Amino acid sequence: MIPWLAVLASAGEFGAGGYMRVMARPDWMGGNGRLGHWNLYGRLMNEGPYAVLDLRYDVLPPEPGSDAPTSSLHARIEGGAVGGAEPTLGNLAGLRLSQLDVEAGRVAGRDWTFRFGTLDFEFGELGLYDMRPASLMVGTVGGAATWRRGDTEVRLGVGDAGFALHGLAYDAVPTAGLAFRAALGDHVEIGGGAEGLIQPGVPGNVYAPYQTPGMAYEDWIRGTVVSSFVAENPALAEMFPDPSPRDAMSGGVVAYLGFGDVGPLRWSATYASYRRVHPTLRSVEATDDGDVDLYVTAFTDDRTRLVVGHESRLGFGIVEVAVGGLFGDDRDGDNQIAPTDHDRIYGSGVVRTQVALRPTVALLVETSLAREWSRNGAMWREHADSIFASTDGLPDADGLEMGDTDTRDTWQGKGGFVLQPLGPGLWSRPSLRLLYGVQQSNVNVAFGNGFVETVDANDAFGNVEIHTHHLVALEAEAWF
Amino acid sequence: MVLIGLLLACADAGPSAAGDRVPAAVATLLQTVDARPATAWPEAADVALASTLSGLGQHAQPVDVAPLIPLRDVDQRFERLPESGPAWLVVATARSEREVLGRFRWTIHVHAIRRDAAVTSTSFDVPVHLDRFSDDADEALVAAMPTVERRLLRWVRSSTPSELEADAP
Repeated sequence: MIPWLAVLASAGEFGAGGYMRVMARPDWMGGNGRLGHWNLYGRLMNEGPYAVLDLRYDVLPPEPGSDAPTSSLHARIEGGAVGGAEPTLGNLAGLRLSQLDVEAGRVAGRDWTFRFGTLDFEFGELGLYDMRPASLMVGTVGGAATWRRGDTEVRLGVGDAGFALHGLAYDAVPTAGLAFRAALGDHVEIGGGAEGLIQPGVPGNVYAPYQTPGMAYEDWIRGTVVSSFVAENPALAEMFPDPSPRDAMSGGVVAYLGFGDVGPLRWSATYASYRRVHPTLRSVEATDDGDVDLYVTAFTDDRTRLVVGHESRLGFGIVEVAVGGLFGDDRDGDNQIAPTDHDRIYGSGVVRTQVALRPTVALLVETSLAREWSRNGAMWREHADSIFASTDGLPDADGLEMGDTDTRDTWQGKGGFVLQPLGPGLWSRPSLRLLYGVQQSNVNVAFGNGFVETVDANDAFGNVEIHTHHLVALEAEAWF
Repeated sequence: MVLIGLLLACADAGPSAAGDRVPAAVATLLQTVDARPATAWPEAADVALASTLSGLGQHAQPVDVAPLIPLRDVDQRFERLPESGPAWLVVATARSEREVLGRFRWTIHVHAIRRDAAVTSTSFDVPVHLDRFSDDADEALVAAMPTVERRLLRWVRSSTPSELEADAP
């Protein structure tokens, strides 16, 4: 396929680009090949394989020296399915056509471009984390107009995010977004934007947002809504209340500041986003008489997510340093009783140093320190024999907390050699890496694993106590 | 230590200087896929190209590209170069592509014509990924130069191996 694409690319009207990473991380300690749970600790050795293939076909190719109208088709295929590097063995079901659109340029003035189709918009990336906090209209399909003159760009888009949010349970979610970015001289870039999504309540539409009346939040968390209703209304057990429609709304604002080309500072970028997360519309509660749909828009419509991330890249001759920081504050205004990923604060710092030993060989050293704190109590187990369900640190079979600590502290250190055929540079790709990594955590077995967690006398495998995780990796990464 | 030694041994030591070099007229143009006129290459890219020619035993002598800019046809541009001695015309066309995972992707299309014993030409695409929205064609070309240099070297060496091997270090 790649040679075929290369032929198309050289034909002039087709273009292909993308990204790939693949790795082998044999984990002799019982893990699944990732040093830690997620890339809060730095992307390196915490991510799985991934590939992106970005295709362009020019219907009306742009030409040098001409302002004639242009038109191109874009398609993006991406996913984490890679044979031999993950459990599905490269099953193509793990890939998706994530973007498909048509762009028309200079059809209504030389500064305007129109895009119909998928509208994903990104301000840039935190390379150390592989995160793009300042993204807008991800998954939205519709139309967008972009005005660009020089280094100033404004984009306005409208569309529908219903499929992206609800899949088979599609319901229209009209979406509007606005973004701008500009360069202020040679050293500063700024950007910002906002998006809003509304899903109106439509009586009778089973996929529209509703709320089941009379539910107590704690009953919902515990999965006892139906049994509580029956206990309180024994004569009306067959009269479980019908849901009532209501609107669901979400949205957010993003900001970006770039600065660089000053002394050893090559570039720094700070991204921030604050979002109200779109509500979850329903959940299913299992009862002795079968599953019961519960409509929970009002229980999930007060979730917010703040993310601030920064990354700086500095150069000192053959030594390059990247420094990154990430802070997140997730709040669920409806939930004051149960620890979840919607109610937490997290932060981390990552420092990566790369020394060019030769033009194509580098020594890489990276370290990260992270803390995650659960706002609603214990969420993790510190030891192999730690408690499970708990309240205020004490065993409680009816407790909504989990384990014995509300804080997870993680340190990671990584180092190794990097081959870079195109020359030195922190982000020079292709990059072939031989790495060793170590993680230290206060939480027991803080990585994906195949260990038994239950404390069961009949368990044939027993429990393990692991706070230090070692891992080696052979990795390849490329942009093309 | 064995592994370190192996990695270093595998590394490319890079080109080294040649001896006496033949003067070669060199014209470089950078254009974008819009109405803006072509420009001369940024200095960093010209320096990189001169280094490449040095590795081929040639000494780059820049040609004023102003008369070439109004011309659209690459052959017409090449005809304006000095008629005697080796000559190079390298036209780079920069195109901003779709962002990929937060990186700003550019394609640099290179069309090179050279005259040694005969006139030959080549063209190829080089992708680069930059991290600034405001990076322009100049930055994209400079970022592409390590690959452009290698492709030009390979082209020349594959087309006239016997002549160049005599000059090669």
